[in-house]
Amino acid sequence: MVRKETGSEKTLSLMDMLKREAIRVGVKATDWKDAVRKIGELLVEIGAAEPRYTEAMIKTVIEMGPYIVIAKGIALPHARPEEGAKKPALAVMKLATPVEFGNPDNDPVDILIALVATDNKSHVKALAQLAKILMKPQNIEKIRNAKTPDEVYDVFVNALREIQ
Amino acid sequence: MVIFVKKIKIVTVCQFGMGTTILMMTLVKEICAEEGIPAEVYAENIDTVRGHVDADIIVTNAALVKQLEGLGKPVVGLEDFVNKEAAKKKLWEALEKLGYTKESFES
Repeated sequence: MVRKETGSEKTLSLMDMLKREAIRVGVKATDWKDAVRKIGELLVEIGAAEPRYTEAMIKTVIEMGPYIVIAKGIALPHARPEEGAKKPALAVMKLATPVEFGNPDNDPVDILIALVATDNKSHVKALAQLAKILMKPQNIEKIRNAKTPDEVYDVFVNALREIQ
Repeated sequence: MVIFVKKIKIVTVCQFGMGTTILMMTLVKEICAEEGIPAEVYAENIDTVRGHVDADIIVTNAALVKQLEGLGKPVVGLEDFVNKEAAKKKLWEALEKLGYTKESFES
């Protein structure tokens, strides 16, 4: 199961996976579970996942630890495809108040990027593009400073243009 | 002058092999390109590599470092998967354990 980027499977670009309607800002969450639940509800709303996917994302953090906090203040909640994924998608949620995931290096978290993958390959290109965008600290700052979902969306569109 | 024909194999490992490992793979590929390190970088999940790993260096998240240290390969544990400078420093430490220096890759 070596995943080199060679398969003939359909590969999706970041903007194929991240739609305008999958972005929320100023979301109030009481703790990390509440935050993951809310982004899970958003995934259900956009038709990307079943409600059980949300519980699977929470279970992943509990069982495997807060390694989904991928960078300072940024979490990437996700679960396995068979746990209720319906279509490959990303959702972005900015919290009104940061929450603690229990990650010693990267807490507290104020940006959640939820991933839904339906197999091992189709999302790889999009995720690599996301990584390249987040590798530039100025892009993270722009996402943090964005006031509306449209502003967040535009940060991704513009940042993607720069890396291509 | 040392001539390297062999690429250094670097595997990135996370719990599922589909999320954070892709971020780590992208980060390591970019670092290798910038530093001129001839490398083949690929992504795996923990279950695939637990028994046997066909790579020279293992890159993973901090939570999995302990589980992967017994494989006899240098293990790079990352806390931040988009922090290039921190990862670059750790990757060089692993390369040095294998006997490589910056001069190794100068043509």
